[in-house]
Amino acid sequence: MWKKIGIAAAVAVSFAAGLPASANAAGKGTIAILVNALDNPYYAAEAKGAESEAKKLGYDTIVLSHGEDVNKQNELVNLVIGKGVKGIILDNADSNASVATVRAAADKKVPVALINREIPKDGIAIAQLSHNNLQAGTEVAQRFVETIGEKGEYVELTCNLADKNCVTRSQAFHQVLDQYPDLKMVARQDAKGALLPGKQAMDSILQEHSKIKGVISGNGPVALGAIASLESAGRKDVVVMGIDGSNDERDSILAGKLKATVMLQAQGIAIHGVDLLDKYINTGKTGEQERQLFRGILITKDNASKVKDFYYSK
Amino acid sequence: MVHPIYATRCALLALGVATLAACHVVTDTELAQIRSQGQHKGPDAAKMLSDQLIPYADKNAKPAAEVIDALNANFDNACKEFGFRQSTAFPCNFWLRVQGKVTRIDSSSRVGKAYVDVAPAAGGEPVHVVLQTGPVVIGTGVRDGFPGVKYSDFDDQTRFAAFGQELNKLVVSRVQESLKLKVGETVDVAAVYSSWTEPTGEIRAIPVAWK
Repeated sequence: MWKKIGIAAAVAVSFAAGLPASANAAGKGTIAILVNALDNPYYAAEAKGAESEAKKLGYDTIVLSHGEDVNKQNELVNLVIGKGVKGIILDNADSNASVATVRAAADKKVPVALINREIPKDGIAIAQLSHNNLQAGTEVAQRFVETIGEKGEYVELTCNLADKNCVTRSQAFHQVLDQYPDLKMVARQDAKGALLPGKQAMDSILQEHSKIKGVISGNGPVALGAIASLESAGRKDVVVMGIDGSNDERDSILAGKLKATVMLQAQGIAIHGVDLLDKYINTGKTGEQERQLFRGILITKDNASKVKDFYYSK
Repeated sequence: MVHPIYATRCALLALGVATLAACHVVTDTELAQIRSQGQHKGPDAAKMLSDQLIPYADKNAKPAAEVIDALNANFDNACKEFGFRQSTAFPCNFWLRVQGKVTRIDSSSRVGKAYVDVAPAAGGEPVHVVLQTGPVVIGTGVRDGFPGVKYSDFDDQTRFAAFGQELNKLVVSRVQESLKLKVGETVDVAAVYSSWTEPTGEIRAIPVAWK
C-alpha cells in the first residue's frame, strides 16, 4: 500500500515538473511520449525521434518512462489524459497487460499510437508499429551460417525470454539454423538483455564448450557481453552476432569484433508514430493499416559507419 | 450436537467444493486458444499455393534479362515497374521468367543451387540466374511477392513467419518432386527474386511455377 502511494507520489512529482499546467498551452497541444527507460540507448532513440517529429509538427511534448512497470504505465497514462494531451506515443510495458491501458485512453478519446511492442487486440490503438523481428532474426541467422559454415557448434544467448520480441528473435534464429542438421547448438542461456549477464553466461559456457565457432545473441548488449568474455579468454576466433544496432555495436563492428548486427529503426518507428498521431488528430483517421512492420537493416563492416543513434543514413 | 468449529469447517469445505465445481481447469492449449479468440489465423498455405500463387507467378513473371537489366540501372524504378513490395518493411520482390540452359548444379550446401544462363531477347551476353533448389531456401519471397497475403491477415509475426516457412517447404517439396534440374537441360521457370537494393552478387531466385 505504502509502496503504491510512494510510486504514485513520485510519478506525480516527476510529471508535474515536466508538463505544462495545461497540455493545450502550445498551438497544437501536447503529445505524451512514454517509453521504457530513458537511460537505455534504444528507448532514448525512440523518445528522441518522437520528440523531434512532434516539435516539428508544432506540438509540445512530455517524455516519460514507465520502467517496464505496468502499474506505473497506467498511472502515467491516466495522468497525461487528465492533463488533456492530444495523443500518446507508447512503447508499452507489457503486450497483454497494456490492452486495458490503451482501451482506457481510447474510451476517453485520447488516441494512442503503439511503437515497438504490439498488443493482441485490434481497433483500440490507432496504430501498432513494430520492428520486423523475424526478418531481423532470420537475416542475422543467415549471415551467421554463411560466416561460420554449415557444420560445427554454436551458442545462443537469448536477450530476455519474458519479452515477446526476444522470443520472436529466437524463433527466427531457429527457423534458419535448425535447417542445418550439422550445426549444433551446444548451449542456450537467457542473458536478461544486458551486457554483464551476457559476459557471465559466456564465461560459464566457455568452461564446458571450448569448440564453439559462433555465438548468436538476441540483442546488442548481450552480444557485447559475449565478446568481452571471449576476449578475456583469448578466443578472438569465435564469431559473434546480435540484433539492435546501437552505437556501441557499430563501434564494435568497425573494430572487427562484432561481425554483424541488425539495426532496428528506433527513431524511424517513433517518427512514423507521431506522423500517424498527427493525421488522426487532424482528420480522425490515419489512412494507413493499424499494424505495420519496420524492417531491420543488416549491419556489417561495409555499412556500419551509416549508423547513428538507431538511425541509418543513406 | 455438532461442535461449532466442526460445523464451520464443514461449511467452508462445502463452499470450497462448490467454488471449485464452478471452475474449469483448462490446458495450455485451450488457454492459448482462448487468448487467440478474435485474432486472425491467416490463410491455408497449401491451398493458396496451388490455387492462387502458382497461377499468379506464371502469369506475372517477366523476362529475367529485362528485369535484371532494369535492376542494375535503377533499383527504385525497377521495383516500381517490375516489382511488388507490400511496404518499406519488406524487400522488393520480382517475378522472373527464367528461360535458359542449366550450366551448373551446386549441392555442396544445404542451399542447393542450379545456375541458369538466360539469353537476353535483344541478344548479347547471357544473364546468370541462380535457382534455389533446397532443401534450404533463403528468404520469404514466395510469401512477400504475392499481393494476396498481408501481414494484417495474421496479426502476429510468429504466425506470419510460420506461414512463409510453410510456403517455402511446400515449394521445396514440389521442386524436389517435379523440377529435377540437370546440367544441359533447358528450363522455363517462374521464380521470385527479393532484394532491398541493386544486386551486388548472385541473382538467387526461388522457383515457384514451371513448364
